Amino acid sequence: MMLLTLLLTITAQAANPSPEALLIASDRARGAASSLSGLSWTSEVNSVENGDALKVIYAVKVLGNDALASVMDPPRQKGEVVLFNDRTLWFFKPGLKKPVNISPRQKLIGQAANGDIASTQYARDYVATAAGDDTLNGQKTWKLMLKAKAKNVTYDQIRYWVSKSNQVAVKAEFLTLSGETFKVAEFKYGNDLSVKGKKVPFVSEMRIHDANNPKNVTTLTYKSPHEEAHSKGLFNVNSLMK
Amino acid sequence: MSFWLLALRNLGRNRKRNLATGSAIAFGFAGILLLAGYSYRGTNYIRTYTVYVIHTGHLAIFAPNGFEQFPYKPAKFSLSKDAQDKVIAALATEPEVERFEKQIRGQGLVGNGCISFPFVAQGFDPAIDREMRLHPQVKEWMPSFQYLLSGSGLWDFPESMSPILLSKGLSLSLGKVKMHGDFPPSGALITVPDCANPREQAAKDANVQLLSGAWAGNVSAADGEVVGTFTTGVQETDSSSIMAPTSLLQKLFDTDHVTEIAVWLKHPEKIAEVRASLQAKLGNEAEILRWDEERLSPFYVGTVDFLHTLVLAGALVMSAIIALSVLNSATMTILERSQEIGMYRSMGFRRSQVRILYVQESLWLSILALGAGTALGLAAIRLINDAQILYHPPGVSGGLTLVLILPWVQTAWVALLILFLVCLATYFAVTNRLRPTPADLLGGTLR
Repeated sequence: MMLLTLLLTITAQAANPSPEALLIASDRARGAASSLSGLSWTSEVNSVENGDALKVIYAVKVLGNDALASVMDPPRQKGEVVLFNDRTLWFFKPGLKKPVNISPRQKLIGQAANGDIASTQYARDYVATAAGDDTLNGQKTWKLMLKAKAKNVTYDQIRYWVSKSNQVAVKAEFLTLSGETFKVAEFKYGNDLSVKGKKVPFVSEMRIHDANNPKNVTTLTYKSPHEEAHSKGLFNVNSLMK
Repeated sequence: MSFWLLALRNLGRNRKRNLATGSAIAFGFAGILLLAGYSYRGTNYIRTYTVYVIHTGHLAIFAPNGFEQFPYKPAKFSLSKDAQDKVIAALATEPEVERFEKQIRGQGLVGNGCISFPFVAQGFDPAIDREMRLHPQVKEWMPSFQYLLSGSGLWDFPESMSPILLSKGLSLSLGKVKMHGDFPPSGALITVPDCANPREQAAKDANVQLLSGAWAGNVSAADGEVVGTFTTGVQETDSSSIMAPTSLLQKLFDTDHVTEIAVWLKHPEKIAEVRASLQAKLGNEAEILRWDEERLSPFYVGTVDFLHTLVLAGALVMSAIIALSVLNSATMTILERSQEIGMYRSMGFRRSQVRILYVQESLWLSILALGAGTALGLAAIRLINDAQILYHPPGVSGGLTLVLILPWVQTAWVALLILFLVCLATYFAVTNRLRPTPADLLGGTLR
C-alpha cells in the first residue's frame, strides 16, 4: 500500500512540475534563454491609448540577464535604447550626455512598461506558488501566483496561467500591491526558435489591455527570433555613448 | 462752554470706571491691530508669491477645457502654435497688459547618470523670471524671500545651454551640490559615473538628464545643466520641482505647444474688464482664469480664507467685548448720574442735548482709548518685527519670519466702527434714562 502511495506521489509530481520549473520553462518561450550565446528578435509595439495610436519597432538583443532594445522605427526616434543590466534599466538617446536610470515599472508606450519590452525573467524576479488548475479557451492550464522578490521588478504580483500542453504562458493578470488587477496580458506562440537543432515555441504576440478600460490596448508583436552571439560589451552602459 | 469741552471735563468723574472702560477699548483695539497686521501681511505675501514668484500672473489663458484636461491629454488640451499667435494678437490690443509669458508644465524623471527621481517641471521665459524677481511688489512684500539658494538665475545663461534650476530637495537627492558656475569656464568633463557612490560622483559635474513621455506618447529625454537651486517655499514641492526655459521643456515633450499663457496687468484692479475683453476677442478658443480663482490658486484661496476668517472672528469678539464694556459702563454711569441728568433737564436742556452730551463724553473716552490702543499696537508690532520670530505655518518650507504690517485704511474703518458702536451703546443707555420727568430724576429715587 505504501509503495502504491509513493508511486502515485511520484507520478503526480511528474505530471505537475513545480511552480519554479514552470516559470523557467515559460520564460524560455519569452526570450530568457541563459544557456544560449545570445538571442535577437524584433518587437513591434502598437498602442491604442484613449483613441491615440502609436507604433514603435524595437530590435531586441538578449544575453543572459542583459538585454538591449533599440528603436528602429519611427526614424525620429532611431537610436533610442533601453538597456537592461539584470534588474537595472537605462534609457539613452543620441545627443544625451549620460544615460538615464529608469524603472521597469515606468510606462514605456501605452500599456507596456519598460520591463515588458525585452526578455522575461519571471523565474528570477518572482516567487511562484501553485494556485490550482484552470481552463482558458479550452486549453488546460496551471494557474500560478507570482509575488515579486524585490521592489525593482516590473509588477508586484502576477496571476499567471501556464499551458499544460507545452508549458508556455498563455495569460497574465498584473496586480497591484493590494491585489487588484490593473492590466491583463494574453500571449500567442506563432514563432519557433531553433535551439541546438531543436525547435521550441517562441512568443509571437503579447497583447496587454487596461483592466479598467479594455479599449486601451498595446500589442507587442515578436518577429524573427533567432539565436545570435552577442558580446558582453554590447550591454555595458558606458558603451551606449560611444 | 461748548458741549465737547463739557463732555471732556465730565470724563474726570468716575475716573476708575472710565479708565477700566478705556483700557478695554485700548487693549481690544491693539489686539485688532495685531490681527489685522498679521492678516494683511500674510495675504499680500501669498498674493505676491502666487502672482509673481510662481508666475501665475493675473490671468492665465488655457486652451478650451485646458485647465482640467491638460494633465490627461496634454497634446489636445494645450495651446497650439496658431492658438498662441491668436492669443498674443489679442493681448497686443489690450493697453492694460503689462507683460505675458508662454508656460509649459509636465513631469518625468531626472537622473544624474546613476539614480533618477520624479520631477514636476514648470517652463517659463527666463527674462520674465528676472523681471518677476525685481518686481516692486516682490520687493515690497517679500523682501527677504530667498528664491535662489545657490547658483544663478536662468536668465544668465543662453537657452541653447539647456539651463535648469533644481529645487533644494531634488538637488540634494541627485548630489548636484555644485552648480554650472562652480566649474571652470571650459566646463566639467561629463563622464558616466561610477554608480557605487552616485552622489559623490554626481557632484563632479552639473549635468542631469530629464526623461519624460513625449506628448505624442513615446519616451523622450533631454540634457539639462544645473545652474542653480531654488526653494518653492512649499514643503510638498520642494523636493520634486524643476524650473527650466519653456524651449527646453518643449524639446523634452517634443512639442511646440504650451500649457498656458500667463498675463500680468498694469492695474490689477481692472482684471475683470481685461478678462471680459480678452474673452470676447478669443471667444471659445481659450479659457481664461483669474489668479484668485480657487481652482487655479487653491493654496492662495485656502490660506487667505482661513486668515480672513480668523481675523474676522477675532475682530468680532473684540468689538463685542468693547461694545458690551461701554454699554455696561455707560449704563452704570448714567444710573449714578440720574440726578445730574435731572438737573440738566430742569435747567432747560432738551433730551436730545443731554443725549448728545453723554454720547460726546463716550466719544472722547473712545478717541483717547483708541489713540492709546494704536500706540500700544504699534509698539507691539515694532517689538514683534524687531524680534525676527521664525514660525512654521503648515506646508511652508523653511518657515516664515513673523512680520506684521498694518493696513492703515482698513484699520481706520475698524476704529470708526468702534466709535459707532460706542456711540450706539451710550445712546441706548442714556435714552432709557431720559424717559422719567426731571422731578423724578432729581429726587434720586429712581433705579
